Amino acid sequence: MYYANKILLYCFLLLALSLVMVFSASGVYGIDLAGRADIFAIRQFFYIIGFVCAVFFTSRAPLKLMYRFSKPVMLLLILLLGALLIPGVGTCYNKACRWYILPGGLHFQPAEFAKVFWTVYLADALVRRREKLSNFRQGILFYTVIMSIIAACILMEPDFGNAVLLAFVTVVMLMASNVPWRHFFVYLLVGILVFYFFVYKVDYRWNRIIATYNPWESPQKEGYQIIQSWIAIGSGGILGQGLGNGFQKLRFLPEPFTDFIFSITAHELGFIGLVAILVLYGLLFYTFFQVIGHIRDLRNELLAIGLFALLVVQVLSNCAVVVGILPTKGLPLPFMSYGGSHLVASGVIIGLWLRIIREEMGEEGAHD
Amino acid sequence: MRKIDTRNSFLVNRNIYALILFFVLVLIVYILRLYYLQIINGEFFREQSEHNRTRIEDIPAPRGLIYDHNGRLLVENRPAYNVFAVPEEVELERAVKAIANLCHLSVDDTARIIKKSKNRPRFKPIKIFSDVSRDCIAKIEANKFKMQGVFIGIEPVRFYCYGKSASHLLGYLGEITDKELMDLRPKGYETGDWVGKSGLEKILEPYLRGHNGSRIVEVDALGRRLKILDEKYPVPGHAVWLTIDIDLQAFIETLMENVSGASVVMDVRTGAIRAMVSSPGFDPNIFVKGLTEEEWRNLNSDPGHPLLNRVLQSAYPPGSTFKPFVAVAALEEEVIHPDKKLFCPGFFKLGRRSYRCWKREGHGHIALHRAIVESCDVYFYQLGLRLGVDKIAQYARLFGFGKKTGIELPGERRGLIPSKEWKLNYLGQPWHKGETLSVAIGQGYVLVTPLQMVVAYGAIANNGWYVKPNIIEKIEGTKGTEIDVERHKLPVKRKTLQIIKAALEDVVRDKHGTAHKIWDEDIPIAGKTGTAQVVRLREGIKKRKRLPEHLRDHAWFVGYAPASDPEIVIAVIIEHGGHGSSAAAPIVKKIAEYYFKKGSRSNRNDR
Repeated sequence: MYYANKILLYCFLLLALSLVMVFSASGVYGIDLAGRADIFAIRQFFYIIGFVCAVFFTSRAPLKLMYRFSKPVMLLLILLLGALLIPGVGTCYNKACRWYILPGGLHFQPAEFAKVFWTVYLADALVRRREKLSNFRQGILFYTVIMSIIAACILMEPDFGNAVLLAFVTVVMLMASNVPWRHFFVYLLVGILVFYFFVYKVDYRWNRIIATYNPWESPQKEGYQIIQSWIAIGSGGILGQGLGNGFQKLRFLPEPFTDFIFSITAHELGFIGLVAILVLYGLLFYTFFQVIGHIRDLRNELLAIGLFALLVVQVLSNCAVVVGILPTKGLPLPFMSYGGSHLVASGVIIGLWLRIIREEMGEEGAHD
Repeated sequence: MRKIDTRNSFLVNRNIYALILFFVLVLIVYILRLYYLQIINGEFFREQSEHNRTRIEDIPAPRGLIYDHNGRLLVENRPAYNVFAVPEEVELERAVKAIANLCHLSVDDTARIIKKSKNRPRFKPIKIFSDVSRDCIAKIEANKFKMQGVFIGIEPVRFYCYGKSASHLLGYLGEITDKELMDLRPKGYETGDWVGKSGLEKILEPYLRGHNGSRIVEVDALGRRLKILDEKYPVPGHAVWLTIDIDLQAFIETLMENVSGASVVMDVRTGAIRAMVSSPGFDPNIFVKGLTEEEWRNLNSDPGHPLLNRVLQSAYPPGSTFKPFVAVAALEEEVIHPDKKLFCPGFFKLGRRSYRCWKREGHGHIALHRAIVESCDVYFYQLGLRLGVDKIAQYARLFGFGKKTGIELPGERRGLIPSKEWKLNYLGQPWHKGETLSVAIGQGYVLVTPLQMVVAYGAIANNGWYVKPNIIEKIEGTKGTEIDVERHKLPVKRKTLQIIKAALEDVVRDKHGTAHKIWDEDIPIAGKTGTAQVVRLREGIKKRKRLPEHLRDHAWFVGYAPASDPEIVIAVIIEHGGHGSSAAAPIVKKIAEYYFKKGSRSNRNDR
């Protein structure tokens, strides 16, 4: 089977499941919002169409073109991210101002696209300038500073999850390129500083971290979400409560069809369902990994590693949050969570993968 | 997977496999974690989840309804709309102000509400306004989107259909006090419950209070009800039927609207109280909202004492209405022959003091019959002397004076029938003969309640059968549909009572009778006037009508009708009304007229 077909198959299985789970988890909210239970499922369906379009168009664009335009696109996205910090420009939900409203009521979240195009840009830049990477200032420091600017913008929206993700992908890509290992000690320093000023000093984040490891301390406040998530997952048992039967989605668990859709899935489909989903993700990542093995072009390989990290880290951290290993930070589960921007951004990622496969292996070499 | 060529690859160069291995390890950790949550601890979380979605809600039981003798609804329950706010979601002070502005309510006790909210969990709703109007509800609902954390709760409250009417005997409810709670907690009462504070609401509390039901409801995280899982229906309180005739009650209330006083109408044979009026009254509906401290103070310090049920919570000197009982004692003890005439010169000298008769020119030679009819004081002074105070007390007690009648209402007073022993015990002084004279005409230490009066006259009208008064006709769900009539025969000769009854009849029928003004052939009333002195008047002050009101005499009339075959007995006292014949007797006549006319118009039911 072609790698491309495999990737698409796994994606669509996950997307189909997403449609079902979003429908199940969002019913109560849909009735509140629009008087009908299926409103979010219908929207999710259109977002999936958006995903398909993104895959289609991205996979048509030659990677050369992508690399060439990655810099101006990235600059534009940084501008958009910066503009979000001006009060009144963006649209806010729950005190987080992350969105632009496009004509037609569509929500556009620049951070979701910034991390994709940052990956593309980084792959291009790191390979072009790979000889200079051994220089501390021109190498790791330069990219870290740019990354920090973008991450700071995202962090101030606030969107902790995407900021961390951006940083993580950057680190992975720098590690994969010619940056000497010793340079990474700077991250130890930066990491401590960031942690101190942006986590320890920001009450709500610190409380969230505390709550993650001891949620019963404040079951009605910080610990609430994680306890409810545990209850949802735990009460699912082996076989789950049955599709549609879960009651944790009845406003007990906040964000049941976006960031915490994994919990509701665990709640309704049980351990069996969860393992099935994790296996799907696993297969998808395994396929990505296989593809990476076939890539000859350095630039494309670095891009693939970045994209791989981008998806894997999102999936793993989202799962970690809902099972209570990492603090909550607001990252959607790729392909599963409800949301337009992240689905379209995922579409772009998958489109890039397909393009890499086509350019590296052609029509023939795409099977194993 | 195909073998990777040894070429210039990042993967090979930097051994990115380590990263991959890391991811795989993480994945394994997840699966272990999920296994722990779902399979090892699944049961615990399932239980938690069950807790999460269910709430137990109380369903308040409707309190028992109260009907009158004719089945008219006197007290029912109506829904009260209360406004609640959740301190966690809304600033209380702002919410109170906003709603007060919206509904034009006064906000004098915001501070109290806020103080009350201090020692409660912040997610628990607190009542900020009780019993607001429907208009206000509509306004709040319309502005709901602006008022997060504010919601409306409905609870049943008492509604007294006739307002002020019969307020004293019905009573009112109030929030349970800590002291009451100590006693009632074993019976399932809780803080914030309402209990009967006075009248029948208090006495019948165990019957009127139902058993709250409960329902287990499935709720979402905002506490909104999704569906009802299980429901235990509340058991409403027992309905109660009273002996009261609310029309008669209301009629008497209009007669006594502008005076202070009391009136009670009793069925002679059964002791059923047909009306019980105490004036001034109050509207028990004001208690439903919960009185503010100021309102309560005003009500309590009102010089008219509107909360007092004068029929049984006030004791008055009986004045001449006491004379028939002295006469009974005299005849029974045979200290005088009924035909024996005594002389009344208008005064009676005892030692150095002179005791006046109300008729200054005197009654001349007069026997028992005329002495009662014309209410001769001097005649009764002499009877009193012959009997002595202890004999008078003995017979007075026989007729129920000086002790509680045992009616089913709280706060009944005993009144006072003095005796030598009593005075020695309580005042530490020996009895003076002169005091016996006062007692013989129902003055001095003697105090009786209008209810005792009506019961005692009932015993005379009944030819010696003493009937215990009652006001509760039946209670739904209790054994025996009607409460048995409790009565006993007094050890008094029939002949004695016939003499007394003849005299009482002539008080009204006879031209010289003190209440001849109310004579009406259609409704022959028998009874006795009484004018009870409030203060002892000094010699020389003669024009009583000029006296300031609070010093004027109390006016009594107690009687029964029809005189020959008594059906009802009526007592009326008008505080500071002056003469019994002019102030009280006409009211009794009107009551009797109303009772018998109404009886002939509509069916008089079983009696």
